[in-house]
Amino acid sequence: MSVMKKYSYILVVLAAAFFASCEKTLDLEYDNASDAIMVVEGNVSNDGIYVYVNGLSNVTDSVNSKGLADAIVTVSGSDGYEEQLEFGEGRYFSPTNAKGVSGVTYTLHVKRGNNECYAKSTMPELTPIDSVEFKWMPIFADVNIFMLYVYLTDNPDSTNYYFYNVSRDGKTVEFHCAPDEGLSDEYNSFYIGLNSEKSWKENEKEKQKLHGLEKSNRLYSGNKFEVALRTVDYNTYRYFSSGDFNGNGVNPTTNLVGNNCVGYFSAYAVDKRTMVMPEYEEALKMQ
Amino acid sequence: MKNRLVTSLTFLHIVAAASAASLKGVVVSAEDGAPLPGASITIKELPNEGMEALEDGTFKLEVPSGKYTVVCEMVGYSTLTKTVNVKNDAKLNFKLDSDVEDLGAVEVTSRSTHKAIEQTQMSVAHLEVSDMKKMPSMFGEQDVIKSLQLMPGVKAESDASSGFQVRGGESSQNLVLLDGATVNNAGHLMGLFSTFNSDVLRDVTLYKGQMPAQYGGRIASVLDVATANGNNEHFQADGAIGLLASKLTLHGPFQKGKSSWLVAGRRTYIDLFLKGTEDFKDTKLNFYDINAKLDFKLSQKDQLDVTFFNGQDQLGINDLMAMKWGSTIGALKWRHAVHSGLAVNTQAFVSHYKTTNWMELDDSDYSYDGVNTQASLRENLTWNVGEKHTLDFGFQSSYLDVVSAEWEFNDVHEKEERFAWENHFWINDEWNINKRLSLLAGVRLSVFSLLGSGPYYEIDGDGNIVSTTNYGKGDFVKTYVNPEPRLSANYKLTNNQSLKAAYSHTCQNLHTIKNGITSLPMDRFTLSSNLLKPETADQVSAGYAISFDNESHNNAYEVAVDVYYKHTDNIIDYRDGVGSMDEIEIDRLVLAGQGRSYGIELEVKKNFGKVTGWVSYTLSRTESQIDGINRDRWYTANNDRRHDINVVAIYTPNKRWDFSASWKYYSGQAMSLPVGKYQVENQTYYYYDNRNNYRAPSYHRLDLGATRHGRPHKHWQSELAFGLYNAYGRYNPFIISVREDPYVNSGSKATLTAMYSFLPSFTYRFKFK
Repeated sequence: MSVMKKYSYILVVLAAAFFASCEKTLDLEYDNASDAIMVVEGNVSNDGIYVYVNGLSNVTDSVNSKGLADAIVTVSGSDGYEEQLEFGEGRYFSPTNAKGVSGVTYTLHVKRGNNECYAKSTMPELTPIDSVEFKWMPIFADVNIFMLYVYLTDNPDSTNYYFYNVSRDGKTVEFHCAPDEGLSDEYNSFYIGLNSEKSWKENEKEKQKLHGLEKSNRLYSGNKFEVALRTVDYNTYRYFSSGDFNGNGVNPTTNLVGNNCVGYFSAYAVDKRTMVMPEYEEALKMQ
Repeated sequence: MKNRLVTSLTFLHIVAAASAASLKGVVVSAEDGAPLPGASITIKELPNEGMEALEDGTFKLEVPSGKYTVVCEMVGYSTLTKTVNVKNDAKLNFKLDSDVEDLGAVEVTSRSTHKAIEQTQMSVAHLEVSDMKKMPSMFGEQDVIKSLQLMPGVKAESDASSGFQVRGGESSQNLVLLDGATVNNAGHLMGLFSTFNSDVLRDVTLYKGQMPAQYGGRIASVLDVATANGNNEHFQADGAIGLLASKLTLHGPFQKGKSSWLVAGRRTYIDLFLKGTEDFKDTKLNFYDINAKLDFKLSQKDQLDVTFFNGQDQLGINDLMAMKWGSTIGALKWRHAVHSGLAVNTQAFVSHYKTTNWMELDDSDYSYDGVNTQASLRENLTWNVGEKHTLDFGFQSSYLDVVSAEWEFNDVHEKEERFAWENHFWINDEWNINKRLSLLAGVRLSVFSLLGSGPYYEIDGDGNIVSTTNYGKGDFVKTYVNPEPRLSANYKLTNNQSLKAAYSHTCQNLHTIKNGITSLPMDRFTLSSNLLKPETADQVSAGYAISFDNESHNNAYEVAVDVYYKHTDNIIDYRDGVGSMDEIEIDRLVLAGQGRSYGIELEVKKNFGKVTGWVSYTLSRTESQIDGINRDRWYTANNDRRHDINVVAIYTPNKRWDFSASWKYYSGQAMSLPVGKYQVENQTYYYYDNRNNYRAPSYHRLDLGATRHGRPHKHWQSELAFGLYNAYGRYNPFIISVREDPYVNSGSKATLTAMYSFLPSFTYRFKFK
């Protein structure tokens, strides 16, 4: 029911905007992050097999995502596939360049020191992207958001869950996760907000403020980016859906079983398109 | 010594020889003939005798035959003294004049004086409507609930909210009554205003968990709000023009001296100001409410009241979104005095709350509705059995229809509606055992039956549906029976000191999950079901109260201390990682467990003089334990706050001016703060260890008010009220969040969002008669 959740969230935010008027930065005293927690991000797809293993960072530090190289990571499948992954470029990968197969249930096993966890995930059938389209969406009277629409043909005979994202240089800029409820012949699309009209006008100024493009969660004119539509299982949907409440003091609901492990393991089928963010003047001509 | 002994013996002899008699009568306003409940009747010759006039203004005192000087007084009215010779039974009526036009010396009194000592009922807060009208107000709008939040044990749900929490309970665990009818949403504009128009209020009483058996259905408190009758002597118009809202009350007689009508309306015009802004010019943001009341004195023994309330809020932006929510209440109350010792109150009411929300995005329409309707018939008999017992007994039968949500988007249409038949039976005895000891003992029986039609589920540990049973219309799905014993005792150590103790068991079958930290029209309701059991609370409390006299007044100062411990069962909280809109079936979103709260409440009051007011302090703790949350361990509840301090002062130097100030302090609210962070899909996630492991910054605020009363004329009175909310402009925490910020080195920033810095206001009030 993610669509209703998003809808209620937008309504609440709009309503609160009328009443909350003052904001200031706080200095809070955070406890230090525990070394005992292991962060696992496991992916098996028709694009390859990659697993990231990291530790927690302190809230007051930048996130360290360089990867921990001393874990033993194994992936096996219900079709007989089994392989220990190798470490390189900050992640564990399949030395045989194996790829996921729809319908196969995969098991991830990670062991590092006293930490050990495992999880299962079944790779769904692929739902391909039919087309993509840039489009403006009015929010407030004078606020327009430049959106990317992802059109698809959902299989009506099964309940499907989708994760769709845009990424630049292999790093996700924005993503959403939703079930197929609410999709119809007329509205067979998901959309992602790329930029507001106002902030787009201030692009160059924003760029100068940033410490580097890789930290920005915004696409700029001329940026080459990738849009991906993943068909995921319920546990993956639940992880990212529950992650919406992370700011409210709740850890996302993980499918990892074990002590002191956070993150997820997802076997998914993915389709991608490569796009270029248009210039502002060019975008204004779009509907 | 010998003389004193002889005098005492002589007096006792006279008293013993005198036959018992009764003195009864009614107290009404000379201005409009309205009964004056709460007016104090005392007898100078019998300092231990006295009472407050009942709801219909009547009183009855058992006294020995003799000649007495009877004093009748009430705040806002001139004191009246009469002499009466009581032989068998005697009648004595009082018509009190309003003291507004009296240009004599000003003295403010509190009619709740001495209640803390005299009353058997524990943990009751009476709000003086006259005091409330002098207190500082937000946006110039006097608010009954914001005034209650200045009392010990009562906390605001959030900054500027009219939601309130009592002794660790949630705001949804308070029963709010308007002339006996249930009010399901007591807030306007996300809680900035309460739904109660202060111009039509007569009496406000808050039972902080230790409620008499006549009340029930919620586990935290009962807020009983009674509206005033119209003027039954002549036509009158009262009004107020404020910065953001105005109101007008018209009332007059149907039948002079007997029956009256009253109509009151209030509306905000915030959106008129918004039209002047570029960003919000197409925004709708307003509320209105209408109160109407008819009262008929059918005979010497029969009184009929009709109450109507309708309040609506709306918030909308262009054709993009609209939120509308509001309540409609209709109530009929018939009071029949069978004889002087037995009264029958029959009431029927319907209370309907509905929220409608709609939004259009990308040519897609999304809509969300919620409904909470209650139709009830209530019968209560009050029987004075002899001199020592006052018995209340009766029943209430209610039909409940709750649409926890109905939503639509594209091809999806889902609805969850629940029906129930709820019956309560009660008996309650107030037993004045002797001059020192009194008991209030009762029991309430709650019989709740969940009815079809609709699907009901069994779920697994993760909240997934494993089986469904469909019930037909009117089928009994599940019945819960809960006996709710109540006991309260008062022992008067002296005339000025009392010790109290109480126990109560309460239950609640209406469950609420909130969508945010304040009252929003997106909150969802549901009823006890095969999965959700009734929430229950067991509370024990004890208290000590003492009053002190000064040179001119008895009970000039009062000090009261209450301690309490409350254990709750079947309270609900969200499962980790779900929100109120994740599933249509609420039962799947929550887990149930237990809670405990305990604390001490201290209050010091000054009742008389040019400066009146109080200081209150509450030290409390509230915790929850729910399997499946916080690794099954106890955790600090979301609404836990350790210290609450309120200081209220009202200064009345002369007839022309009132000045008031209130200062509020509370220590930080519990919140969850991350102990680490990590990235998944290049997005930062925060890692939390224990729920509510941190304290938000403390809250404090000073509000100031001043009222200048115009010179009174025969047909016209006016006053101008000034207010300054949050006078020193502190940024108090409304929302605290930790979020990503690419402009700081760590990538994370904690921010505090406040509702307001300071808010000045003014209101012009008038009365025409």
